[in-house]
Amino acid sequence: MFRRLTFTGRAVVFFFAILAVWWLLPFVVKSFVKTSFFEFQAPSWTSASYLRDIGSYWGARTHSKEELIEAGMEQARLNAAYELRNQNVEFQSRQIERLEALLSLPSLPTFRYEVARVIHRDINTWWNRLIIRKGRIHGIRPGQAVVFSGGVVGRVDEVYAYTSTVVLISDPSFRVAAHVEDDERPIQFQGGVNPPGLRAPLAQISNVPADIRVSRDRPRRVVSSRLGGSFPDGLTLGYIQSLEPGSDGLFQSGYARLDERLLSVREVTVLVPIEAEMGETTP
Amino acid sequence: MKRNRQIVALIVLNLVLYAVINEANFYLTPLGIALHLDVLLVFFAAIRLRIVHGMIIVLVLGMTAGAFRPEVPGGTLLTLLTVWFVCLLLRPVIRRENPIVITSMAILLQFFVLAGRTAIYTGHLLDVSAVWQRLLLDTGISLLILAMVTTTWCEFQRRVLLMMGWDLNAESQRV
Repeated sequence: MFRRLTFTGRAVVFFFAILAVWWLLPFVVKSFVKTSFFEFQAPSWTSASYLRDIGSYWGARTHSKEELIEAGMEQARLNAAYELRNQNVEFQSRQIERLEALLSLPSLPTFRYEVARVIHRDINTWWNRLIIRKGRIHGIRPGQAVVFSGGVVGRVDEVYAYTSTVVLISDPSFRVAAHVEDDERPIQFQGGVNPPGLRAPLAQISNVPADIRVSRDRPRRVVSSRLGGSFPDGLTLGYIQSLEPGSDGLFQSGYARLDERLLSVREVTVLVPIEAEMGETTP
Repeated sequence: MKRNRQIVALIVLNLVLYAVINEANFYLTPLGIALHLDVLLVFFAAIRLRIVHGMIIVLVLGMTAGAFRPEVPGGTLLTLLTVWFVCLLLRPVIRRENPIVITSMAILLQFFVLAGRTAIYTGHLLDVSAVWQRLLLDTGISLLILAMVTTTWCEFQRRVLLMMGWDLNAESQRV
């Protein structure tokens, strides 16, 4: 009977047969197939990233000795400045521990820093994601915070054996509690808009108290809040440049400009909570 | 007649194309541009191969391309399957030898794929002008590239099959 069908008839039968099979498959099987295909192609992305690293290495080798000496001197100056800052941080950490003990306060969450290379970017109008070269065996788990020198990059979404996917803060589905610098009241931060060209991505800001004032000349920094659970307090999310009053008159909303480097970031750091790791290893 | 070697070769060729598109997007991201050329991965299989052969290629490439995307499981697969199905329906009424017809068909299909994704994933943001600017730029560049490479890519795959002993032109003339 199937042989008697026309070409179009056979196409219709095949198409709806595949749809029916896919629809009837349990969700577990679909997820397993998705994960299998991800793991199957992950080595190719990792290899491509190693090739890029080799390309950068050979590119760097073309620099002259004078340039390298100059870069070395600049690096030495930076190291000296960071050494001083480290001493200051150590002193402040001891101060915090002493105050916590004195006031019987619960200690702040502490993190281990897992540095990872970005091996793949999928950034468009619909979703903004990265794949990084560290995964489950490095202690990375879904929901952990990902940061870089410009502030927050995003949150770990899916974790595989040697790779993980990260949702950027510019992704329309990314939502987190935040607050304006020097103001503890929470506001809502949601990713959203990636303009074309070399312009910085934007995020939507809402529930901003009516008394907060910003202007293009004096933008206010939006920082992460501990309320969300995964991010430590005070990491840069973006800068609010304009706000508009909401219909209720109590809150304002607007857009925050994110760091331009977010779209070209090559190396990120995953904040792995030490308490959670110790909990996993303790029987 | 079994064509396993040739089908595997076509899958590998399109996986390489998929990797090249991903690599191009990696470097274009800082410029605020993304290429969307999904249709190109299955177009040749849809307009030139038998239903079963085309279906195998669409299944493998659909699941590979969709593995990373944050859609419902199989979202990309269903999109590519729909593209393949529309091509199959149009096959008896189009002139596959005409490059203008082929290119126009690929462009239209890619446009509908992009429009569908926009409606599903960015519907709530369509009142923001920057979203429209980005969508128009991405769509324009993607369709322009599609217009430039579709015929060449299809012809290249046909010649690879010919080198492997599968003459699609002779086969279609016999049919």
